[in-house]
Amino acid sequence: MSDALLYDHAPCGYLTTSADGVVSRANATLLGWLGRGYDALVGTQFADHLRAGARVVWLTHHIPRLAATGRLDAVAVDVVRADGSLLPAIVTAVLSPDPPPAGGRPEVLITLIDASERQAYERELLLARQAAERARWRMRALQRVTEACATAETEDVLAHGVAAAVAAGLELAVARVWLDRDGALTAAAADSVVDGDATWADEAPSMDSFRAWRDGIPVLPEQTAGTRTSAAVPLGHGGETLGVLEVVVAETWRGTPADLEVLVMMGAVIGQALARARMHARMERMALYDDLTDLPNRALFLRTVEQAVARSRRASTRLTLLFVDLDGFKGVNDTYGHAAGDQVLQECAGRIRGAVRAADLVARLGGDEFVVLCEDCSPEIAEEIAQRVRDGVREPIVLADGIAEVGASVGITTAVPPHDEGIVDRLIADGDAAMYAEKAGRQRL
Amino acid sequence: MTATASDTGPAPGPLARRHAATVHEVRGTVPLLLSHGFGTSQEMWGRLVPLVEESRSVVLMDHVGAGGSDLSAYDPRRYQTLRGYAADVADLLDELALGPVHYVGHSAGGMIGVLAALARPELFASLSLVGASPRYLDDDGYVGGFTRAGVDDLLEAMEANFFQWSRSLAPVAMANPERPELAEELAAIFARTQAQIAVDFARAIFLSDFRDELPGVSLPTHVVQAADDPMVPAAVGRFLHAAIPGSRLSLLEATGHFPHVSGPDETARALLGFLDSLALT
Repeated sequence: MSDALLYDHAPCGYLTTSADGVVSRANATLLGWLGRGYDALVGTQFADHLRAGARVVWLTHHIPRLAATGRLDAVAVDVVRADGSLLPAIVTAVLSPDPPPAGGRPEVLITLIDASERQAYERELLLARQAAERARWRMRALQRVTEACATAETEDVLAHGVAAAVAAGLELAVARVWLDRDGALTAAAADSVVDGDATWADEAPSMDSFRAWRDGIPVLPEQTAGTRTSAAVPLGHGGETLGVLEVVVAETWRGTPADLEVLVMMGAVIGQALARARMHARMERMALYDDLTDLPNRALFLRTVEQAVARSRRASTRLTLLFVDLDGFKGVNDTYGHAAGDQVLQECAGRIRGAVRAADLVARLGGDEFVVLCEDCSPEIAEEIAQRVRDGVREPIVLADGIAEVGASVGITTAVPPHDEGIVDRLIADGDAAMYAEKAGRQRL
Repeated sequence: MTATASDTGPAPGPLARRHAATVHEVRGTVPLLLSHGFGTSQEMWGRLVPLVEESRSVVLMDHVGAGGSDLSAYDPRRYQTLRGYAADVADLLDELALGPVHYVGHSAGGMIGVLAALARPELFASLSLVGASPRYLDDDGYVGGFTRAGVDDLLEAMEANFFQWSRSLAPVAMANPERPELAEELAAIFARTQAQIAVDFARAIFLSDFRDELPGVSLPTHVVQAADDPMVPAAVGRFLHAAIPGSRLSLLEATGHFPHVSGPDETARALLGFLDSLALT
């Protein structure tokens, strides 16, 4: 067989192009495979015979590589036949050893092997591997969110932590956390790739967020590539929607709508953590606040007064305590019952709070005993406050079935630095004694 | 304009290293920043550089993920859109502190320059856009050159070829003869990272739409369109020219998507001709 015959009828396709990709020669095998005549191929751009996707990869990746390294090994390319069908081929290319004309660049010698069978098989393998990679990607993102949940103690830290974890894990343009506060969706945290997204908190929740919150079900897009979309999932716990996780998906995002389904799992994890953070906050509050009047309790009062002693030492200021005990409270309890008694305590707590200065601390020590901590307060002012407390408490209190009238005995005690060791105990004992002295005097009257 | 001295070398600084930036200095000239596009690196300017560096300072760079750039700097979220690449260009120019530059961007490098110039106009003296496109998809009277099916096909072709051509990228990284097993492992990681970056970059380019940004360009702008560009139809060049106020359009005889490779003399003449026409030099 002559070389020319071998060239034309070899069991693979041969073609030669100029450095700029114009076909100058092609063998009969290739023309047969493509169903094209010699003139339909020679003189045209080889790239124009490739499927759109393959064409871009060929021009932007394979050709520059060929130019840089002189060869291209076994790359997959889809060639379009005359009838529009595709020929999957494995292409190898080298630069021609023939010296180019002066100032020109060498021709390109290309071999094509029919890879229909192999291509389909390999493609399946690749797609399976890709699917596994995507699943790992989603799981890693979920793992990040779970870690952010595990380390956050407060609702605020949690919101910021998960917004960052969701956005980074799934490579999203924006992730926002909205929390249900008193029946309204409120901005809590956002993470955005674009700088200057700080004003988002003034925005109203998106329609998606609102729907996810109202219906308690995820709102996920059907399509992501090519359009900027958003998604929202409820942050639920025990059938209750505590907030919404909203994300903005760039039109060029790597994932697919199927990948966004992991947001539903994230919503459940975050919802659980949110419920835990809220419970934690509630318990912390219960330990430090009086449930009935919402005033600081004895524990918080003692903690605060210790700090006030230190401040008083540093600033050389007076420290004043007003001990308040209701007069006639037992009678209200006996006459109208405990519910009425609770109402009186709540009302009096509010009135005492209204009688003191903004910086003063009112606490409930227990029963019908209250205390006011006044820092840097002259004896005259302390007396004024005490009088306002007495006057306030004395006003009649309207109950469901009657009117209660109680009074207040107020004992004032003051300490001036330097304070000795047992200052807090002494202040409390003195204040108590002063209060009882007033009460005893009143009862004698 | 007379060149007094010239000097070439890698630029110092962390961002210059990240982008494998080199500065060739011809004193007294406003530097050209050559910014490559999809699939390529600064090597693609190899035939053009000798034609411009006699008379002009030239800065070369690789976008993160390409050529000699630092692959570890790749952040899939940052580079999800061309804005991440645009921010890199601005950051690099801040570090180089060369004053405003004449930006020459090829392909996706063109839109990267447009976005950078919109965000930081003071860093640029002019924009030259070679084979650039604000949108590749056809859309209601707009001819971008690609149908949605075509782009899906491209992304699929890239993803399906992922491992195949990540293998084809590998030998580039193999350069440690003493520890071949280590080199092979590193090469595999390197190649896969590069392949993933390439797919991400394709998505950032072919699924985006920056047409609305164009009227905001206030710099002198030169649209350079090659003949028979299989990536960017001539209609796109005309669209860019019409959409960017006061821009100049050059239609080259050089063919293909890389006129600076197929016709470097003509491309250099067009680029320098535009720069010479500006009051600035």
